[in-house]
Amino acid sequence: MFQIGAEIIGDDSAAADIEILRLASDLVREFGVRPMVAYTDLSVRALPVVIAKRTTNGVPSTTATLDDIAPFAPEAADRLAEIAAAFPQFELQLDDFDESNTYYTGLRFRIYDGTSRTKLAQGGRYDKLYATFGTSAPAVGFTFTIDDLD
Amino acid sequence: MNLLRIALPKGRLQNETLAVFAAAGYDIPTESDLGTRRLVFVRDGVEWIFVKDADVPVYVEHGAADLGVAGFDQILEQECSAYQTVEFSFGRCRMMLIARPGAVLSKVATKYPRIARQYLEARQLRAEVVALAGSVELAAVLDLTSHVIDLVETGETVRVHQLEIQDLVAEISPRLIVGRHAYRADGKRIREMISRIGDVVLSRKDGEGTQVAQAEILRSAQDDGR
Repeated sequence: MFQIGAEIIGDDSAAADIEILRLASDLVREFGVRPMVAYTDLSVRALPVVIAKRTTNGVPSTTATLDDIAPFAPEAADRLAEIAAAFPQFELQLDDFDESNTYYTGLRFRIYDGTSRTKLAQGGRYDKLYATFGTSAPAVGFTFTIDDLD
Repeated sequence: MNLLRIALPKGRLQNETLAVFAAAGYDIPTESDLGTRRLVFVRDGVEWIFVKDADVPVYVEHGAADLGVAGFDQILEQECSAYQTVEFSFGRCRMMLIARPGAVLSKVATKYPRIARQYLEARQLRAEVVALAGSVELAAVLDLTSHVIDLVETGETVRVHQLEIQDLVAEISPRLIVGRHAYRADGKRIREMISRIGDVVLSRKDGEGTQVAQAEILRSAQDDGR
């Protein structure tokens, strides 16, 4: 299994998030596939207004909107609003909070083939990861799994 | 725009399932459509496919359908990992351990070998599991096996054959299942469908205490004034 990907290191702005999202989705289009992108910001998943709406039988779900999280996490809400404005066709899914990877600190997204529903790429922001290797630097990136592109 | 594909079960659950979708405002296949030999219908951006009930969870698990309606018995037996988003109030029954009165447990006949093995293990019972395709109670009547595990609705089959129900294995109901990838890849449309179906089920509570996840949560959120 091979992976290709890209990162922007050293830039913690929303502009970098947007550039990475654009690069990843453009790559998918280069392969003649229509991308469907679901994204969220993992820094808000522990907010009561988000958690409180999880369903009882294991289906992740929330009715929380950006307006709901804004009073508690204004920066994350602003950033998500910028992304929503840049990509109106992508889907904000605040209930994507079953995350086993602990290193994502902000934006978290997945790209699917719109027709076959196959997951093609995934990524997000991981501002604390480089520090664990000795150099502190914010970073945002994505990977494609090559086999899924066949 | 690509189609949302939903797999519906042929057989005993088909008509009531379609009725719920119709009540939710979906343009379902008509009587005359279903009278043809076709198995695939496209209406209003939704692709309806009709498959054997045991196959609905398989289609959804492999992503060949985005959603499906399947009985909890088949969901368990096929070890389907899809989200079970709405529980329907029709088609409910119970999976039971049935035997001739006084029979000693040695073999269990069933259409659900996986569920049977899990049940036996959970109860720390030892018995051989014999997989059958149908008319399962006959195995106990004719002594092919000491016990059977099968669905019970009215209990008539058990009574007629003078068998006795010994234990409850599971409560069974049909569920609206959604593939995990589909749930993310087509979130808006799928959540809308879950919500519409959930609303219909809630409004039809048969006094059986329907437990509906999404619809209940959304409704309570609306009550909060959001």
